[in-house]
Parts: sequence; structure tokens; C-alpha cells
Amino acid sequence: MKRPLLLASASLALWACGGEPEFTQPLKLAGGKEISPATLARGKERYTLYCRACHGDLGDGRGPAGIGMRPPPRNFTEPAFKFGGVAAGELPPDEELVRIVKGGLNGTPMLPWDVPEQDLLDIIQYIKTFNVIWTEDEPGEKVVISDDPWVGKEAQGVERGKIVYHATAQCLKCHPAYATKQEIWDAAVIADGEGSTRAFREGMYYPEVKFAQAYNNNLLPPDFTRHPIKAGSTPKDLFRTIASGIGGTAMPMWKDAIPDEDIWAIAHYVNSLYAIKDKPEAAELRKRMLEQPDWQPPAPPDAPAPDGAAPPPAEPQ
Amino acid sequence: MTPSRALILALAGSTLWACNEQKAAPPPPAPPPPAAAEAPPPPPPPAEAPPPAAAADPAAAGGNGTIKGVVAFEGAVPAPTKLDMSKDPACGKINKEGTVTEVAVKDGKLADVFVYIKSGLKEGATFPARTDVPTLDQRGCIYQPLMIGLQTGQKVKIINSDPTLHNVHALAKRGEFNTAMPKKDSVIEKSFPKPEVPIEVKCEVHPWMKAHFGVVDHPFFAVTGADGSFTIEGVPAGKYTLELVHGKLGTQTVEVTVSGGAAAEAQASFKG
Repeated sequence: MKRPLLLASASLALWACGGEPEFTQPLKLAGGKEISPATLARGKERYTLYCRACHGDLGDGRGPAGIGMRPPPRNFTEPAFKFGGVAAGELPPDEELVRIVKGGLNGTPMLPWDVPEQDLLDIIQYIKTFNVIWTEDEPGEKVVISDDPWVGKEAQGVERGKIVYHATAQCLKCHPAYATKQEIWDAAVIADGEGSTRAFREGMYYPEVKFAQAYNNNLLPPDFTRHPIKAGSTPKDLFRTIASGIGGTAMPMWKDAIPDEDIWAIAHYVNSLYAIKDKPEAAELRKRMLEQPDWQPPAPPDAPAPDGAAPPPAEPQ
Repeated sequence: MTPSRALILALAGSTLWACNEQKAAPPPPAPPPPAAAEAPPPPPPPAEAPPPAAAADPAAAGGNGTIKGVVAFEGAVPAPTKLDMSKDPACGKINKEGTVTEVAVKDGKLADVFVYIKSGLKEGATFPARTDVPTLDQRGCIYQPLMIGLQTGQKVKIINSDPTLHNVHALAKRGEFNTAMPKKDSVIEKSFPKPEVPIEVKCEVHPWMKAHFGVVDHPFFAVTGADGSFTIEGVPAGKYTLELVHGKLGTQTVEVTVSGGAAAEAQASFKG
């Protein structure tokens, strides 16, 4: 009676390929949560429908429609996520992945996808099969989005944000400056009591390309008056992105590096720049920057000191 | 066998094969963690500075020995690397020479070499956790020191001594972090959850700034001092492979046997 058995197993195999039991074991996530084979199978099916074209069968971002995309689709076999709403470098919790899929990434082929809720949740579990990191590391803690202190006084927030952007946080080290050298000097005097910004990088009115090892790619920090802001341009979205940093890229985490109030101020300021994106105001702003008069910093306050300041005391080790 | 039946069987066979092919694609759902964690049975939470109480394995306490050595440097010593710091004058305030000594050699001995036991430790043994907190200083827009050894979970203090923005971006495969430090004298503490040697740390604002961490899941490591010497204490008796890692000059391995008695000597030299 060998033959019926063979046939039976053959039909089983056929059935297996058609659908469910490709996953025979649950996916054991770090932290103890288990994803059932049925959820994984369903997630795979929905992934194939919605995501595979760009992100690929293997989740490596090399789907047939993803080839040649700039930026390339997220490679789920690598641990890095850019906009996870957690400290840059950590894994995003499910709700943050939901946010990214539903909100899309502005200016990229990652559109705001109207995927049915359950499908999306299943897809999110399925993509965790692409990298064992999900079975070993738990997602990070969401970066807390505090209350916006500038509600009702947005103009003040923008004004403060301009100072923080150009002086305190020195965003202009990578992003473009949007103020004249004199204005930046004045901002630094307000921010730290002395004009610490005495010289500027070449091309300070353009962003500076940064190499990102995690993506093996050169990335351009956005010029907010020209480029789309991927993870959202509302003050709240900007707060999240600035506070968390952007995983795998040059953009660091700012939470606790400066007060929340100042992160919110930058968010309002960047939001105001984005509001004039591609408009005549943006062109005028640029023109004013490029045509500003020559500027020399005032004499350094520490110039008279003969031998420079004594080196700070603390010795490493 | 009738032709149709043969066809079905053939089809079934090929489907099975196809299935196997696909199976190979996604990684197995839940493979056991690759023996990275110290204690095997219940996977402990990714080592957040293991309490010292859970330390001192009896085996480790027994015939402990010491590994000592000196790392030599052969060849012409490269001059300190000249940096173009013109875009940030705050750097030159402290680092007046505008240089970084990437290969620090004194009397033919090499500093900043991370030395650690790469293999030979008993599987599954637990070891005391290091509690000292080394410091990585950003001073004059270079890192000091350029190499730091850490145990998983051991804290490192990171200081910004410069009146300019630095961001500390540790390019760890696991446990990457990237934190802005815009204020002079600000201090943060970080640690790494997984072993990795070496982990590059860089500053995105000052692209010449580069240092390395050596992170291992045991306490048997050291970094050579200015005189090229290193000492690793409390090592259980046994035969080990040491790896020596220099941020610029690469890696080497040395075999060493530790017994309870005299310190085991390990010598190595890097070529310029």
C-alpha cells in the first residue's frame, strides 16, 4: 500500500504550497510574544500583495519594482530603521510601523498605504521573519512626545527655533543655513552668551552629503525649502524625527541633548521653512543669503590671553 | 503506472522541491541565540550591567592566572595625521597642532591595541562583570583615547570637552546609537548589549573623528598603554587564543597558555 501514501503526501505538499502550512512553528519574538503560523502565513500572503513588488520576496528591498529606486526600499534583512520613533538604532514597536505604513514616507514611492488594519498587523509580524534580530532584541521605548509649548504662540516658536537651529543645536553643520552670517552670530550670542560661531563650512547654504554605513549609501540631509520631509512635516512629526534621530544615518538623537521646548522650537521653525518650499519666498531667501555682504567675526574675546586658555582639568582615565 | 499518475507524482515531486527551495529563503523562525549570552538556559535580559553578585564562577576563582604582554611596533612610525579643521575653528582652540596620533608608538611599543580572549573560554561559564567606567573624551575634535575595551553592559562615559557640536555615532551592528552632544562639558553614559569587535564610533560633524570600541561578553581584555604593555588578570587556567586589534593597523592573534602560577607572556608586533 505504498502508492496511496505517496499520493496523499503529494497532495499535501501541493496544498502546502498553495497556502497556510508553510510556517509550522510560531515565531518567538524577544520579550516572549509568539506569532502563530497562521498569522505568519496570512502576513506573507498580504505582504506579497502589498509590499513584495518593492521590498522583495526576501524582504531585502530588491523587489522587481524596487530596483533603481532612490532611496531604495527598506531592506528588512538589515536591522536599521530610519523613522521608528525610538532612539536611532533601536527596533520600532508595531504601532510605529503602522504609523509609517499609514502615513507613508513623503517624496518616496512609499505611499500612505490604506491597508486594512488586520492585514497590516499581520504583515508587520511577517516582516520580522526576515531578520533574527526580532527574536533576540525587543523594540525600543517610544521617544516621548511632550506637549507642544508653542501652541498659540507659534511665531515665537519659529523665532526661537531659528536661534536653536543655527546656534544651540548647530543644525547648519549638515543642513543648510537659512540666516546670514551676522544673524547666526547674533543667534549664537543669544544662545550661549558669546559668539561661538566664528567660521562656517564651505557651502553652508546647501546641505552636506553624509555617508551612511548602515545603508552603504550617500545621503543628503534635506534642505527644507527644496526637499520633501519624509517622515512628516507637522511640528509633531518633526519633533518625533528630531528627538529620535534617524536610524543608521548621520542624524543623531536630540532628546535630552537640548530641552524639549527647543526641539519643539526647531520643529516649528523647520515647519515654517517647509511652508515656503518651492515658493518665490524660498528663492528670495536663498538670494538674500548668497548676496549678503562680506562678514568678518568681531575680534575673539579670548584673543588677548597670551597662551590660550588653560586646558580643562579632567584627564581621561 | 499510468501516464497520468506518473505526471501527478512528478508534479508532486517538483512541488516538494519548490517548497524546499522557498523554505530556504526566510530564516528559520526562532533559532536559538548564537551562544552570545553568558548563561545558557533562560536567556537573560540583554546584559544591563550584570549584578556583581552573580559573578565569580567557582571555576574562575580557582586556578586563576594572568596574561601579560607588550605589543611592539616595527618599521617607520607614521607622523601624526594632519587634520583640516578649518571648517570648525572651535576645534583648533584646544587642538592647536590640528593633528591626531592614530599610531601611537613609544620606544618601539604600540599603544591603543585592544587585546582580548577570542576563544578558549569554557562555554556557558559566567564571569564577573566589569564595573569600572572608562571615558571617551571628545577634545579638540579628536577622540581620546582611540580604543576602548568594554564588556557587554559595561558603561562608558562620553564627554564633550569642546565648545562645539559633536554627535557620537557608534556603528554597532547591534545596539547602534547616535546621540547629539551640542554643549561643552556634557556627559552621557552608554553601553553595548552584544559583543562586537571592533565597533567604530564616528562624529558626523567632524568626519575625521574616529575611534573604536572592543566589546566582548567576558572581562578578559585590556588595551595597551603608552608603553605598549597590557595585563589581563583573573583568567582561568587554560589555552587561549588572544586577538589583538588596532584601529588602524588591523588584527593579529596569539596563542597563550595560562596556569595558576607565573603570568603567561604574550608578545606581538604590528608593522607600519
